[in-house]
Amino acid sequence: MRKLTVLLAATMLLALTAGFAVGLEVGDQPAVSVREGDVRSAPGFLSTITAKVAYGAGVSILELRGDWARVRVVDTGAEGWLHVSAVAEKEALRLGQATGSSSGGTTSREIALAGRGFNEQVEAQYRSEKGLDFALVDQMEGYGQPVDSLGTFFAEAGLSFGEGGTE
Amino acid sequence: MRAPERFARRWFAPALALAALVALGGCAQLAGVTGELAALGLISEDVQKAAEVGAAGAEVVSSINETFTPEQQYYVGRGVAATILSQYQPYRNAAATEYVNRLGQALGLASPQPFLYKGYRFMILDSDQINAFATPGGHIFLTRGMIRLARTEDELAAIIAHEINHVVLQHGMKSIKSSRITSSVVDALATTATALTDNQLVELTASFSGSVDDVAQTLVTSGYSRATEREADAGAVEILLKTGYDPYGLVRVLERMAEVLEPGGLDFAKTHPDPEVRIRWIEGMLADTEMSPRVDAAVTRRRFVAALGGI
Repeated sequence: MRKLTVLLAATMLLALTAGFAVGLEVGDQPAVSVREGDVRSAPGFLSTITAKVAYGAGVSILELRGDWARVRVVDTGAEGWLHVSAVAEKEALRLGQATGSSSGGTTSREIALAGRGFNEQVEAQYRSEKGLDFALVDQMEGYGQPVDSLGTFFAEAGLSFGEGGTE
Repeated sequence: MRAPERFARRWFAPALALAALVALGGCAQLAGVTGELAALGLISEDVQKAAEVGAAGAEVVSSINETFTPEQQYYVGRGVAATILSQYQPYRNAAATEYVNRLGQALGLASPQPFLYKGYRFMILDSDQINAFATPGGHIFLTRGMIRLARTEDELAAIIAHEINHVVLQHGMKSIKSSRITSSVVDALATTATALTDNQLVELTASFSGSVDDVAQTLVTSGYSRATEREADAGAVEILLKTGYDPYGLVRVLERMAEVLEPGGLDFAKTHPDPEVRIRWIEGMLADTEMSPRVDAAVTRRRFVAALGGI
């Protein structure tokens, strides 16, 4: 029994190490990993935003160009370009895979888990226990600058975002 | 992320931990608990280490992303930000705040992680201390004392790029002790009930609170390792080169820091390696680098002075 489990573990380890060659490929179905993802008309930070996608929304990768992926949003069918840093594998978000018979009863549980853990409810409890004020944190989070103004800020001084393959 | 790899990542990692623990301890109950833990992607470092040893000493790559979702990292970041803001007052100057946010957010887009859960946000703290803090949620704080060290936009960009890299490289999250993710926290996470019980909320909050404390303690008091700071400096140099700023801005601002930091001080002197040491490794990084800063010094000087001249 013991030998068997060690052998099993070793086999699994091989499979595991093979699984660490990460990187998006056409056909993958990751999920949006930011609170609100911007889908754009072309690769590049300054391209027109054509759709917004929420955290956890599934997308299909249709094409890859540098750090940009042309995607189709699974739920809405919207298509456009997302930066690869705005998506992650579904398991990184604890979202269940919709497909695969091997998922058994786990999928529903994982879906139930989405959003669990450290969230608003826990923050509210923490805030009341510690007597901390989050108003300034909220204020700070409102300091977002329009991306066009960032483009101008760099361009007027001869600087650039150095976007690979999109300039 | 081809299908077999996805399958491997998703199922073999937890199964490995479980199998290895069975092999190690032969204890079904323990393995059951660990399986739960692993299935949730919440394997603590200790458990993972045990699993590694069990698997003939082979190394299992673990990452923050397998333990915390981007959303959870953001909430830890908010907690850390609130903790910092319980010790410092914001510097209320709209022009300075907007300028620092434009510069910082533009640099964020040039980083290896342009998009974060809720983006990079910057706040100036009304303190003469020389200090800067970056939370895992992208909240970056710079004291007035720190900003005063910079005499050009290149130099300020260097300071900010260093902080951005602490976020990108998840240095804050890495300072969370594995003991924060206890088995009862795992149970609280594993429930299929639609709402958390009061007990579960208490357990999760204790874990959250401990995680926030670990990060805040590291940022404010104990500091990162030298290797970690070096990594952030290397990332800063990359961003400066990529955008067109002068990477020697980082060297110049560190030279000034070396002049004014007081040994035994409660600021950067306590949490960062000696600036002289950092200058040496940055000069090493730049030695074989071809560079042609594209920055228009007249433009950056004008806006830098307009926004921060009075700070």
